[in-house]
Amino acid sequence: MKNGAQTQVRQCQRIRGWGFLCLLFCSALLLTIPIRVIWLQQSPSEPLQASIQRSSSRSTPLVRRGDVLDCRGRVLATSSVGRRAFIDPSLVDDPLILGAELHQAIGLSGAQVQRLLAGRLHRRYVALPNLLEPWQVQRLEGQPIAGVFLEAVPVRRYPQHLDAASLVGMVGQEHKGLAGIEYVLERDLQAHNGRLETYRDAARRPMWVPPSGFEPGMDGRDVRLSIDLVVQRYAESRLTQAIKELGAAGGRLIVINPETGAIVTVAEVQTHGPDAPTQQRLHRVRSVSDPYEPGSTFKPFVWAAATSAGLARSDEVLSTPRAVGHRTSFGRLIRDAHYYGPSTWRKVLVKSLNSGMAIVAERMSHQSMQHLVDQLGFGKISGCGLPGETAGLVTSVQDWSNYTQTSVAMGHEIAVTPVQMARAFCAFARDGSMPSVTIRDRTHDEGVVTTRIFDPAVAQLTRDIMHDVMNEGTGRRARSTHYSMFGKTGTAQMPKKEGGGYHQDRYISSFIAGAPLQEPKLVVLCVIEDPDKSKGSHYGGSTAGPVVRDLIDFTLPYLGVAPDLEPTSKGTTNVASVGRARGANSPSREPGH
Amino acid sequence: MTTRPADRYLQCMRPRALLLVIVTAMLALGIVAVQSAGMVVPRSASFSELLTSRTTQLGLAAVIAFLIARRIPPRWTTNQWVARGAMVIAGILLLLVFVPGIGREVNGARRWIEIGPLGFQPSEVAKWAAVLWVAAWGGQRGAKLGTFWKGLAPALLIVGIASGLVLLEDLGTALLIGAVAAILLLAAGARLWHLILIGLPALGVVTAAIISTPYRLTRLRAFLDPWADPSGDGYHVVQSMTALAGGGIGGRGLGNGVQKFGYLPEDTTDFIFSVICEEFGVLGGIVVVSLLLALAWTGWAIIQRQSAPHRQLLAMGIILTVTLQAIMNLMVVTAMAPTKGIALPLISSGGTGWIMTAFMIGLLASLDNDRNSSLDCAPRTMPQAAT
Repeated sequence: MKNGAQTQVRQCQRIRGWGFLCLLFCSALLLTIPIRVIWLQQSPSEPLQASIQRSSSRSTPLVRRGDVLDCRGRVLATSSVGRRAFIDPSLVDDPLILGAELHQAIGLSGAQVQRLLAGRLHRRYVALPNLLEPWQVQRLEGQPIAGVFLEAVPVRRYPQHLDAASLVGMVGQEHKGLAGIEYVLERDLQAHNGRLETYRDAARRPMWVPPSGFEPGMDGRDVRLSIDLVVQRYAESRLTQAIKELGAAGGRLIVINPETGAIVTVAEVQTHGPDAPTQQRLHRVRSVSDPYEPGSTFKPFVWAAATSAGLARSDEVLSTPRAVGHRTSFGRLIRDAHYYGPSTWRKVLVKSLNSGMAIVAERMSHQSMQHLVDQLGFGKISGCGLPGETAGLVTSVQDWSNYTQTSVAMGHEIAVTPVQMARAFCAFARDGSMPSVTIRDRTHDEGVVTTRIFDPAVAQLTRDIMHDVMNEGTGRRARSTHYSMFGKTGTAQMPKKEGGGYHQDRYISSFIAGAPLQEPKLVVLCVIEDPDKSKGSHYGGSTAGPVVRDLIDFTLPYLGVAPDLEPTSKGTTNVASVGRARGANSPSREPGH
Repeated sequence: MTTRPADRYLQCMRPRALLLVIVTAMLALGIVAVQSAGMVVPRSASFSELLTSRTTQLGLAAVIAFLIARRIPPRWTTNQWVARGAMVIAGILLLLVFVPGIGREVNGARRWIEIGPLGFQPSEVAKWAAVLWVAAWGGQRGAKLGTFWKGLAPALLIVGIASGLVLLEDLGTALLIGAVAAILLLAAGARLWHLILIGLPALGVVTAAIISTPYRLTRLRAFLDPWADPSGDGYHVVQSMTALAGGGIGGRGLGNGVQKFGYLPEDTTDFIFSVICEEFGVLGGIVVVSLLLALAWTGWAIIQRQSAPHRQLLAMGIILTVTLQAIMNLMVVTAMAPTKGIALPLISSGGTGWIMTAFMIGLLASLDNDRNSSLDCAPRTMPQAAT
C-alpha cells in the first residue's frame, strides 16, 4: 500500500512537471501571436500593402486650375475638362481586333494602337495620346469597345493662341506650370486635389467612406495680370513688322504704367527660324532674362544726377570738342557721332554728346556714380514677377576705374534688362521717384513702393530736355504728331559673344520714351537687336523710335488719354502747345539758379 | 478564527470561478465577433434581434453546458467505463460520417454528420473522448506505461485508431488528438524514447496523408509562398494577413472591418481572429491571447490542487486540447503554419464546438469543486500572524 501511494505521488509530480513544461511552451507560442500581428502591421511587404489598399478605392475629384487673365479680365489661359480614352490591356483579347475597332470608331490607326500596346500588355492603364473630339466621345459612349474606357482629364487652353505666348508660358502633362506666368505663379494657380476613399466589397461595390476618407479639393485662384491684351497684340505685331523691315535679329518692347509700376506689355520677337507653338510658349522672357548695354539711353540718369548734385548747370558751357574727340584726364579719347564745339550741358543731352558726358562724369566721384547705379536698381532683380529674371551686369566696386566711370556715363560697361531700364526711366515720368514694377494687376497705385531718386524739379527739367531730344535732337524721327513725348535714343555696339570687345558694325539700337509730357501715362522702351545697316539707319532714333511712337499713338487713345498736340495743316507739331508746356517748366526752376 | 476581507476575496477567486469568467468572456467576444463577421444589412435590424440570434442562443447554451458540467462529480468523468463508452460512441460516429445520407461533405472534406436538424463534427466528440480515455488509462496504468507492450501499446493502438479515422478527413484535429494523447501518456509515465520510436512512423503516416491529398499539398505550397498565387492557392492566407495588417493598433472599429465583405473566406469560423484583429486591432488580439493564457494557467492551478493522477491527467488533457487547438488556429491565421480547418475554441462560430468545449472546461472546473482535491483540504482561512 505504501509503495502504491509513493508511486502515485511520484506520478503526480511527474504529471505536474510535464504539465508545467507544456504550459510554458504553449504560453511562449501564444505570446508570439501578437508579436506576429504587430510585425505584419509595422512592416508589411509590398504585396501585402497593395492587398490592404485593394479593399478601398481612391479617386481624385477633378479640380480646376486658376485662369490667367489680362488687366481687363480677358482670358489668357483657362482650364476645362476634356475626355480621353484609355485601354485596359488585361481585358483585350486580341490587340489586332482592338486596333480595327478603334479605327472604325474614332479613326485611330491600327498601327498606332499596336505601338501603344507594345510592351505594355501587362499593364492595366494605357492612355491614348490625344484628347477626344466630341464626335469620338459620342461614338465610344454609343458603342463601347471591350477594354476601352473614357476618363475625364483637365485640359489647359490658351484662347488667345500665340498672343503673349512666351509671357503666359504653359503647363506640362501633370497640369503644372513649366514656363512663363504658369510657372512663376504656380502657387496661386494650382488647384489642390481632393481625395475620396471608398471601401468596397470583394465585388467592388462601394460600401462606405471612412471618416477621414473625404478631403474636398480646392480650385486654383484666378490671376489677373497687368498685361493689356489689346496693347500686347498691337505691340507684338508692330514689333514684328519693324524687325522684318529692319532685317533685325530680334526685338523687345516693354510698356510700363509709371503711376502704378504695372507692366502693360512685354512683347518679344526673335527671327531665328519659325517656332512651333509649344516651343514659343517655352521661350524665356528675354525682357527680364537677357541684359543689354543701354548706350545713350542711360545718359539722362547721369545728366540728372550730376545736375542734382550741382556738378553742372544746364546752361553751363562745356569744352566739348569741335572735331577728333575729347581726351579725358586719364588719356582716354572720347568720340562723338557729330561735333558741335563747346556746348551747354543741356545740349550735351539733346545731342547725346559722349564728350560732354565724359567731362561731367569726371567731376562725379566713383561712389556717387555707383550709388546712382545702385539706386536705379541696376545689378539687382526688379522683382516684377516674370520668370527667369536676372540682375544684369554692373562692374564691381573693386574693379570700378576712371575708364568705367566715363563708360557708364555713356551707357557702356553696364548691362541692364529692359524691365530695369523702363522702371528706372519711370523716375522721369513721375516726380523723380521710381516705382516698384509688377506683372500682377495693379489698377490703382495700391501696393506700389517708390524710391526717391531725383529731386522733382530735376526730374521735370530732365523730362523737358528729353522733350527737346524729340524736337531738336536724336529723337526727331520718333516724334508723335498727337502726343508730346520725352525720350532718349541709344545705339550701342554689340558685344562679341566670344568676348574680346565689340562688333564694329553690329548694334543694339534702342529708344525709350514717355508720354504725354505733362502727365506721363506710359513709359515705352524698344530694343532692336542687330538691325541690318544696309536697309537704312541703325540708330535708335530711326529704328526703335518709330515703334515707340506708334505704340504711344495707339495706346494712349486706347487708354482714353486725349492728344495734347494739335496737328498743323502740314502735319507738324503745334509748337504753341508744347511751348506752353515748356513755359510751365522754365529753366529758372533748375536747382542752382 | 476570523477571516479578513482580502482572504475572503482570494477564496472567491478560486479557479472554478475564474474559469466561468474566462469562458463567458471568450463566448461573449465570440458572439460579438461572429455577429460582426457575418454582418449583413437587413431591411430592418434591431438590437433585440442580435440578442436573440442563433449565435447568442448557442453562446448561452454553452454557458449552461459549462454550469452543468461544473456540477458533475469528478468520479463519473474519471470512470474507466465512461471513458470507454465515450470512445466507442466516438468511433461509431466517426464511421457514420462515411454512411451516405448521414455524413455531409463541407469544403471538400467529409466531416459532418446530420441527423434531422442536428449537425455536428464527430471529430469534436472523438477529440474529447480521447482525452477522457487517455486520462483514465494513464491514471489506472500509471507505472505500467513504462513498459511498451503492457502499458503503452494498447493506449497507442486505441488513440491511433481514433486519430486515423479522424485523419481521413481532418488532419488538424487528428494531429491535435495525437499530440494531446502523446503528452498525456508521457506525463503519465510512458518513456520518451518509446514515443519517439512510435512517433517516427506516425510522422510518416502524416506525411503520406499530406502527399496523397492534393488540397493538403496545395495548402502547404500556399503556406511556403502565399504570394505565388495570391488569388488562388494563397488566397486564404493573403486575405487573413491583409485583415491582420489592416487593423492597426486600435482596429477599424467594431463592424468596420472590410475583409469580411467577400475577401476573407471562413471569416466567422477558422479566420475569426483576423476579423477581431481588423476590427479591434492588436489590442483585440492581445485580449484573445490573454484569455487563452488565463484559461491555461487557471487550469494549471487546478492541476496543482489534484492529488489523483487520473484527475490531473484529465485536467491537463482539457487544458492542452483547448490551448493547442487555439495555437494551431492562431498560427494558421497569422500565416505561421499551413492552413488547416481548425477553429478557435469558444470564439469561432460553432454550435457543437462551443457547447462541447464549454462542457469540457466545466468538467475541469468540477475538479476544483470536489472537496477531495488535495489543496481543497487546505484551511479556508489564512493563519493569523502571531502578535
